[in-house]
Amino acid sequence: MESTVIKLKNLSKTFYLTKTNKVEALKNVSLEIKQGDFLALMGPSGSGKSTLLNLVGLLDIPDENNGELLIDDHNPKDLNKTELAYLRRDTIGFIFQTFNLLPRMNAWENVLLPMRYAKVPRKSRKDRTKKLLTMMNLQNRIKHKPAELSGGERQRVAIARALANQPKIILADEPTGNLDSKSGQDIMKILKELNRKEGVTMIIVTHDQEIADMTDYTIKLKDGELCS
Amino acid sequence: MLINENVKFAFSSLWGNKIRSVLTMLGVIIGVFSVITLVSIGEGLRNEFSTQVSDIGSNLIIVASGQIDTESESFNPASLLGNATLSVDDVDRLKEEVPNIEKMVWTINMPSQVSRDDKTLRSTINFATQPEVLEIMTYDLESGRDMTYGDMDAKARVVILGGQVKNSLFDEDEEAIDQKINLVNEEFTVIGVMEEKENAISFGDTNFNNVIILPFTTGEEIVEDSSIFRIILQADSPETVDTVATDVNNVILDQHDQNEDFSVLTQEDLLDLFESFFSILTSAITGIAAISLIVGGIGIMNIMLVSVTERTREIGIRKSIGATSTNILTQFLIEAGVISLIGGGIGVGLAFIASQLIAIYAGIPATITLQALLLGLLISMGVGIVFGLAPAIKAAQKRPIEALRYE
Repeated sequence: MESTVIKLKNLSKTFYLTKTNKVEALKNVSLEIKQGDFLALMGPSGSGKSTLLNLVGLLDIPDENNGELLIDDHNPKDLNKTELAYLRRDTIGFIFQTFNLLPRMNAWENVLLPMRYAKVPRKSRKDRTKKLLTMMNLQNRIKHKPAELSGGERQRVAIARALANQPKIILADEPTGNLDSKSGQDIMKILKELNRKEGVTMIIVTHDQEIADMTDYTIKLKDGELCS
Repeated sequence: MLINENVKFAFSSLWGNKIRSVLTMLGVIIGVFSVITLVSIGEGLRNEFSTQVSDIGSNLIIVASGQIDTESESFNPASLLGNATLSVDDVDRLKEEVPNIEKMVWTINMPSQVSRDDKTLRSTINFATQPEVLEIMTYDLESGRDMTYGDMDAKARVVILGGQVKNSLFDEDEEAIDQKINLVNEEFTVIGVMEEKENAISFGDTNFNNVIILPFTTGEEIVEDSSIFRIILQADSPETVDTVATDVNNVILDQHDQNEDFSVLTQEDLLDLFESFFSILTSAITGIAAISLIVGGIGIMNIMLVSVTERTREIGIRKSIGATSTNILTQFLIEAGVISLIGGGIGVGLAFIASQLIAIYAGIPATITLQALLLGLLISMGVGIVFGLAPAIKAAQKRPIEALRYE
């Protein structure tokens, strides 16, 4: 039986713009995502997609109420900042709409970096970097800096980087949003293949129904609430 | 560890902003450069001085007219130019009452210009004294003969020239011995020329390369005055120097009715005098250096704060791929350390070049000691880390979610 890797129970997130003016970005959301799921997260802007993704990605903390969040059986509330960073490093890979590669580092260094933070031994991290870049068909782009790569190539470097520490979960925030449809399709194929072969749980935030159709199921958010 | 990666990345970010990096480093460069250069000049002078002081004969004691205070921190060169308050009576009492004196000479000052044919020198130091003077001061003759008691008895009009005086009055290959020169309106015959010592320093105030020495009796006859300018004594062993100096002081004090219008100096005192002078110099240098290093440090802090803000997004990315706050803190600290260390390195390099140039062109033997070098590098790195700490903490505390949103 597949285990639950992400669990949300009555989770809320409120942003306070001023003391009195608050925005409830998420309202009592409950959700279970199993290991190996490949899903799309859809909704109009302001619906809470990114907020949800940030909470799951341990980049942000939920409201202090009865709500519960479990990532790979860990409750972020029980962890200090460093432990959160470790959990994020070892469990989650991010793919961003704007790629977010470090511009002064070449493809090789960008992919290597998470493994340096994870203190992976030199030999293993070199091997893995090489393997990942080859898998992304970037073996001829190793020394190129992000500015010297096309959008599709950049996103492939970003995927390789996200995979570096063999995460259980990959969170992709509009991964095809800055790409032409051909490159976008390619990226989706890669993500799907990773999901099938490696069993990585994929959550893909998108506006695009075509992209959502390539996933196994779709969760829709509206005004901070689930509506599927 | 991430040290390698951080150092490499620090270099690449410095390289990415060359002009800014250089300007940032400038404060540290100037600070380290000035510390090391000034310290090396001071060190060089100090070494040179101690060697020369021990070179000018051993176990020397000098009695000078006027008050020179070697104990206080302040050193007034004018005090060396006191009036002649000593007399032959002082010398006579010393001879009678102070044991352990090996040799003693005393001098009469003979201020005068010296000329030969159309050449005139105005800044020579002329004095009349006893024949033992060269022995006491450990100067050899390059040519000619030493002064004798025969010259003294005859009140002969003869002189011995310092090396520099000879070179100024005569051509390079010209023989000076038996030539005539004019001094205090009389004609003198040159009987000897002293060897020239490089960077000869004076015991008291006399540069021996620049002296003209004549027999004491001759001087006495010419100036018709028995005021003594200096008494130079040699104790018979290093152990007796201090007691002789004390005895000399007591005897002359008694002779002068307890009026302390003279000074008794040993080589030790002379060294102390210059040590105190150097220590003032050193504190001044340290003060200047501290100020410029603080200014440099503030420069680094300023730029690092800007850099942290500019790189908010990078910090967010790094945190999203697993960097801990400590990782980020280390990264920015290393960057500040690298900036200041490079600055320090450049400062040391420039100081090294400067000390060579100073040695060549100014003749001051500036020596860069290993301590000064390590201190320079260590201080510069310390400045970087101290002033880099605040920006690094600011960077480490950025929340990933906000950092990632930063445009």
